[in-house]
Amino acid sequence: MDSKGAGATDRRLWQRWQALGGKPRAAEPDALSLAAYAEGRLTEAEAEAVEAWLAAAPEGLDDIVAARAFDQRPPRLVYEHILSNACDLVPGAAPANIANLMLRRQPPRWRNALAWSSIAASLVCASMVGFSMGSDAYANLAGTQTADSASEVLGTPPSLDTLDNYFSDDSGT
Amino acid sequence: MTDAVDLQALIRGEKTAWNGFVRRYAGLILSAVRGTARHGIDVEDIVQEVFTRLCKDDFRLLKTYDAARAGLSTWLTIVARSTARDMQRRRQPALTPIDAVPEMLLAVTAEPKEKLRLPDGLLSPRQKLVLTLLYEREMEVAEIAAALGIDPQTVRSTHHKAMLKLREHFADSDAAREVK
Repeated sequence: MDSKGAGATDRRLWQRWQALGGKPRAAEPDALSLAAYAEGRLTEAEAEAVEAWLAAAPEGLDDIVAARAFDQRPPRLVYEHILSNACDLVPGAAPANIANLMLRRQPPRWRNALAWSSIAASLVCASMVGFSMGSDAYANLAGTQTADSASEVLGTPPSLDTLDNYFSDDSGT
Repeated sequence: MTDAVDLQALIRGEKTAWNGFVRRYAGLILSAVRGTARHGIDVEDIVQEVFTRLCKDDFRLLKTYDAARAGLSTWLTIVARSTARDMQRRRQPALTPIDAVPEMLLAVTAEPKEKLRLPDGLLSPRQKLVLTLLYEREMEVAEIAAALGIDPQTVRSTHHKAMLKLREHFADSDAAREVK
C-alpha cells in the first residue's frame, strides 16, 4: 500500500464489495457517544458501534476531528446581536443584584459634566497658548526678514564728533 | 478553556446561568459551524439554531449531556456541527452527487450481478471504516490515523487484513461460480 492508498486491485475489490451492498447500516450514535469517541473514552465495543456508523457516514469523522482540534483553536469573537438573540431564548430577567451592580458601575451625571467641561477648558487653553506662541514666532520672523537693513533697526551710527563729545562730557558718565 | 459551568442551574432554566453559558460558548459554536456552512445558510442562523436546540423542550438536549463521558466543549462541537448538517440537509434538494455513486453502478455494460449473499461480519467495523476512508474519501494513511486516534501502522495492518479477507471471500465465490 502506498501513502495515497492501495493499488488498483485492492480498490476494485473494495468497489465489488460495495456493489454487493457492503455498505454497513448502523444507527447514528448520539452526540455524547461521538464526543466520548473523540476523547477516546469509549470501550472497545462502544467504539466499534461508532466506527460502524462512521463507515457508512464518513462525513461524521469531520465532526470528531473538529472536536479533537478544539483545544488548538481560539474561540471566535461573536457579534453582540448574536449573543443577545441567543440569550433571549430563555425568558426571565437578570437578578436584581446584578442590575444594581450594573447601575452602580455607571458614573453619576455631574461627573460626566465635569469631565466634559475639563476637556473643553483644556482645549481653549491649548488654543490660546498656541495662538500666542504663533504670534511671537511671526514677530521674530518679521525681524529676521529686515535684518539686512540693520541701520533701520539699530538707527544711524553716531558720528565721531558725537562720540568725542560723549567721552569728554564733564559729568564723567 | 475549562468546561466549568453550572449545569444544574442551566437545566433549571436560570436566566443568569443561560446568559453566562451563551457568552462563554457562542465563540466555540461559531468556530465549530464556520467550516460547515454552505448552500446560502447564514452562520448566525446556525448558531441560533444550536442554542434553540439546546434549550428546546425544557433543555431536553442539554439534559442528555454527561460530564463523566465527555467534555462539554467536545460535546458542543459535535452538536453544533450536527445541527449545521441537518439544516443543510433540509435546504438542499435530495440529489446524490455523481462522485458518490460507485463506478460499477454507472457502467453502461454492467458486470453480472453477484448472486452471492454478503456474509455478515466479514469485515469488522474498523476495517470497513479504514477502507471507506482510503477509497471513498481518498484520505492518506497518516490522516486516517490522526482522525481515528490510532497509529499509522495500525491503519496499514487493518487495511492489509481486510484485503486478505476480501480476496479470500471473492476467490471462494468465483471458484464456486466456475464449478456451476
